[in-house]
Amino acid sequence: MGVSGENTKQGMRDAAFMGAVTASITHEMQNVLAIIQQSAGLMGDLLHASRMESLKSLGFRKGFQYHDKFSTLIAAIGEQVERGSNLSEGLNRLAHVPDSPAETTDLRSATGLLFSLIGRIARKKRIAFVLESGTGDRAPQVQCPPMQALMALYGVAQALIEVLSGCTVQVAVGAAEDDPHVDFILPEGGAGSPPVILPASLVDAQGAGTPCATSLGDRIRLRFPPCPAVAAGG
Amino acid sequence: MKKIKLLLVDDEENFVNTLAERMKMRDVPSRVVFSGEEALEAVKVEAPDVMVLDLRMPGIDGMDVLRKVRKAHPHVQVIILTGHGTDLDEEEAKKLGAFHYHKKPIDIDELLSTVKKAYREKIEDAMVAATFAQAGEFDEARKIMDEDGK
Repeated sequence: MGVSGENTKQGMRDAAFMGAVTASITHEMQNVLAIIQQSAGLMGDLLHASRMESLKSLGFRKGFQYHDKFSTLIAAIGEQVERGSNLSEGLNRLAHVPDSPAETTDLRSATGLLFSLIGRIARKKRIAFVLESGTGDRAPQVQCPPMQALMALYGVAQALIEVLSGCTVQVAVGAAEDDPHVDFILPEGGAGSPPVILPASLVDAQGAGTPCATSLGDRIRLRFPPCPAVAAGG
Repeated sequence: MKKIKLLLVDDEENFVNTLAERMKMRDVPSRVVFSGEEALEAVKVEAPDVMVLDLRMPGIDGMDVLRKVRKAHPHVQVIILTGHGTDLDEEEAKKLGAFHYHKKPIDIDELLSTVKKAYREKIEDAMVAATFAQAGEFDEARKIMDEDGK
């Protein structure tokens, strides 16, 4: 085995290690969030019970002065628990990617996962990636390992975040002419204003199963060319 | 509705005690234990109607508890509630006869609704079996009661 092959294997082992540790931490995060959620929930229950007692006493027993403020705060804790839980779940799915032996990727699911994780980075520049809902057809499965597919999607998203701000980027997963792809549809002005600089590894990519990005004026298309055997139905 | 005998099993003491308090405020008191060993002991002393069970615990883990409880007490409905679950865990738990599989964190009312559904299903099975038994069809009655544990 050559040096490059050994490096790739070591890289995969590193990714698997990081993934395993991260996955375990995300599980623990869910436990932490569950305790916060139930504790805040109990505070809400007690607050409610106290108001009911005050109402039943016909005003003889005074209600809690900060009832409404506390209710708002408890609701805010609940919202943040849900947000944390979604992030932790996304991170968990990402962490499990390196240990997936799959050679194919569900393109819609991978795209959804990526946007759930990079939402905050995009929001910093007031960019919203909006994944168009599918037409009900089966989601395209591409001949590309999940890790490679995610890295390619991230490469394009990152290039857009670099140059855009304050806009919405519609994202469509398609499979026109048996060519599975993800389109990043640019806001007014298209790719030329300002120019989107795509990662060289995606622009110069060649070969079956290797993701390849192209600028098409109003959109950036990330293609996942099928392997010849698959394309031929073999 | 008759009081549901509920057993909560989780090694996160803060979590399970708070959960029990909230359940009690909703008229569903419960017993609480903090390990798989204690859960098996508690079931032996008095079988609950419904058990809410964590998966990853020191000592006997939740999956083992589920396996043993469903074998020895097929009429105990087991709901998994875990922060550590994977899709494979969910598949295995359902194969072993878990009534439902929830991930933490969970809204208390959603959990309560599952507990009530599990209890209702247990009662309905028991009533159907009793009807068959009253009609003298003991084999059919036994079959219904045994099916729970398979």
